[in-house]
Amino acid sequence: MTAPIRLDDATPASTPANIPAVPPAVPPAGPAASPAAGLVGPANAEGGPGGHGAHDIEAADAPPGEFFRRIYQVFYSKTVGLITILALAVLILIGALVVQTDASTYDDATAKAEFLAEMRAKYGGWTTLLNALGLFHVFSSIGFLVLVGLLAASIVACTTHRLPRLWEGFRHPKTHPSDQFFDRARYQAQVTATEPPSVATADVTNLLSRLHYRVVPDGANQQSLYADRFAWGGFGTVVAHLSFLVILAAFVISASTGVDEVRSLPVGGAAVAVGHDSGLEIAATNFEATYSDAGQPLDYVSHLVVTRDGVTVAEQDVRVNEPLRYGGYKFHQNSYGLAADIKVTGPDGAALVDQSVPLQWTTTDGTAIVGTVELPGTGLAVDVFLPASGSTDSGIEPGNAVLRLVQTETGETLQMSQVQPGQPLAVGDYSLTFVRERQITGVLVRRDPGALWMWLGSILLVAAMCVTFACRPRRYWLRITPAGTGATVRMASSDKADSAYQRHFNQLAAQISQLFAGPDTDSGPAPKSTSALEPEPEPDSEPQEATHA
Amino acid sequence: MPDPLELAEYVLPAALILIAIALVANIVILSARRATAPGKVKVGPAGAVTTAEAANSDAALAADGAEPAAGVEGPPRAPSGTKTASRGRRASGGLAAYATGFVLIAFVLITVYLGVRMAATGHGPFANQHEFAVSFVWGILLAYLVVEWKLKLRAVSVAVLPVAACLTLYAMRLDAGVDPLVPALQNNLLLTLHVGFAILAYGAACVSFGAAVLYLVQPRWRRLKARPETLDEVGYKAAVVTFPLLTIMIVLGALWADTAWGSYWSWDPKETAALVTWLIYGAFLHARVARGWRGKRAAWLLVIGFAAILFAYFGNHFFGGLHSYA
Ligand code: HEM
Repeated sequence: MTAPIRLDDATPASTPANIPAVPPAVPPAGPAASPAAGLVGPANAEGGPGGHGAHDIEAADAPPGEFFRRIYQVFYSKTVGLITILALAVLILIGALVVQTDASTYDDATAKAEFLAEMRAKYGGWTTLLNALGLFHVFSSIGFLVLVGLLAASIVACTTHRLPRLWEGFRHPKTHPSDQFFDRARYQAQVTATEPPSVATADVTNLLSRLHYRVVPDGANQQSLYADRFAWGGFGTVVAHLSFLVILAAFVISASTGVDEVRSLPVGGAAVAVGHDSGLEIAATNFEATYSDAGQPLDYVSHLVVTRDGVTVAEQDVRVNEPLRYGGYKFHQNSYGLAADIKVTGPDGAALVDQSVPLQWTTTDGTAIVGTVELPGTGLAVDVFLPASGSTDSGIEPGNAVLRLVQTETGETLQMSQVQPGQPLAVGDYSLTFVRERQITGVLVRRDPGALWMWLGSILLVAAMCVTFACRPRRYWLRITPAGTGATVRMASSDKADSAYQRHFNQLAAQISQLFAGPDTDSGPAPKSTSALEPEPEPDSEPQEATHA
Repeated sequence: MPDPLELAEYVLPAALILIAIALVANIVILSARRATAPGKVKVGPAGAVTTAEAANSDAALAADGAEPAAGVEGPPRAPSGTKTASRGRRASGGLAAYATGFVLIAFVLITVYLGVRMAATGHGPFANQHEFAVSFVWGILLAYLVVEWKLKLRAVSVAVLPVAACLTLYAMRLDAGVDPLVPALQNNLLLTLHVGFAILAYGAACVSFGAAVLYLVQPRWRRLKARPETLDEVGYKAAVVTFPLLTIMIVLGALWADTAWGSYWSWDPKETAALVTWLIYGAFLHARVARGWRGKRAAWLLVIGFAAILFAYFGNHFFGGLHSYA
């Protein structure tokens, strides 16, 4: 790369001349790359957005044996944080590409074997590897959890490491840079004033205050000022990082607490208890699905009634985008289907079952839908078949159902007959009745204590990010020296190369210059300002306190 | 009210042609630059230290009719916002005005088309891939125009306009029909906001991609003289816009999912891909504060970030999920 190389004005004369023989904006890593402006020793203060790049690990020399300190250093290293973020991105990308299954699939040996066989058809020999690495359930895999943990640790370490420096830099900014700083800083300007230094200083101070700068006089030098704006901007990143932790916590809370269950409600049927000891029951009094002429679904609406101790506490038409919210619970339209009301009486004539049986499955030939209900205490179950929607070859007359009594243990069919609604089917001592067909609506019952934290963290994250990006700290140092009968105002600042920063700097220089362009001066002194997007010498070119006044 | 389907037949090819012409014009302008631009003398307190290269590279930016982003000397110029092509470059200055004008017209045409379409359908442009592809182009053109206007960096057009052109072509090949919304999509406000932020984010991301691509090819494309520092800065600025927008987009998506599906995050492939994108842009921002990651590596992250956006966008071709509509 043969990008223009320019010896930076800010380069100390002692620096070897071969410095940035690399593309600008890619500072070399060696020590030659540190012609930090006006540095009188290692930087130890947070220098605005620019951070303290080079001093991640090296600067804080760990006393030998301090194991935890070492670990801490690893975590607050920006490179480690960066690599963690990238590694997480790669893992998550895999999760988007590879077919994912529920963690519960892996709990059930047969389901797992079935799933893996299916995957083998798709991924062939890779299946074993993908499985071994947990990549079929990336988001509950060990690797994923470890990386998220590392990220969280890294954020905590970064923040705790940075915060004291940030605070110190905010409370006690360096106000007394060395003289060289004014010659070497990335941004420099010079203005001549006809007023004597003390007057010029007062004028400049007034101007800065008017422009909402915080002005801190240099204790050691009457005619030296430090001025900053948005000095607190750096705390934006602290809040951003903390709010990301809040979001992570929200995920943990959501995953480990709360209610997440789907309930099939017979429309117009009995109420169903929901939640764990919530005391709430829900019932659906109505369900409607609307379709376009082309058969595209347009709307699903269930009318839900929530009751507590038999008293209605909430009711609403629930649609896909309009859940019912009550008492920390949300009730969502989830699915719909058919049920069969089944009544079974035992040998003593008592009802064993009297309920709506959801027809949740479809027969393998696709002609009929099936539901099943166990007869408590008998080891028997009843399967109910209705013709599948639109199917005419199920052999079941419209309006009829097929009932099958089976032995649950052996799967042996004891009896299987087509019945009309309301007509009891006698099988031994049992009487089975298909009462009627009934619509059911699937309702997702949710209670998610993590959600609140999720929204809180998100709002905070976005806000903090915007503050960070919109309120970049600006720090300027000014020194006013006598020049003849007047004064010279020198202004300097060190920050990342940034044209917006430079524009603000130049603007301020121009304003100061105007301050001294009296009406009788025909050629107002223009500020001489230099600054350039140079090969970055070192991001943290914070001026150091000069050791002597 | 014009029929959006009919409008699409005219507007999109017209926009495509305009974008193509603007692209060609910009390539001509950018590679016609010579080192003949008036050199600038840089005065520093320590004396004038100016090398020929430095003057050229400043001029290269200025040749765009731009106030140089760097190397300013003397009081800052009044922000002009208008083209001030230097003498002797009138021809390319005029061409520049045309190129920008064409992009602007293409942008207006697409805006009108989207407006008519939204009025006809009664919802934001999120119901199908066609609508979203056109919106994507809209976002890219908007971001590009803002960058050209604010930062005067015409060079990024070389990478940005081809993307816009390809997406326009893609949109033209898709079914532009208006279908009723499936129930899950019937949440106008949240979805419009969600998609709106996506479009803005993707547009900004495309610009940062453009800047990064140029940053990477710049050493090899000698005639295209754009200062690497400027490209780096524009890439960063665009990413700084992209990242919060992406964040808002994802949060709004989560809010919608929470309303429609009952949980704010379900690792559906599309949202997963969006998270990957977000992490890459986050990584980019951190790359700039991590030692050894500035410059080329950071530029590569921007390229990868935009690739991730395209992946998330075209994702439904790779994966099925709740998002299978748009
Ligand atoms: C995914 C989670 C994270 C988010 C959302 C996040 C967010 C941000 C944002 C928005 C910025 C401002 C960037 C800029 O000014 O260009 C930033 C800067 C920074 N982040 Fe992060 N960050 C995350 C993770 C981390 C980690 C793991 C570390 C520690 C290794 C870290 C350390 C830093 C540092 C040192 C800065 C620079 C601060 C400055 O410029 O003053 N961040 N972060």
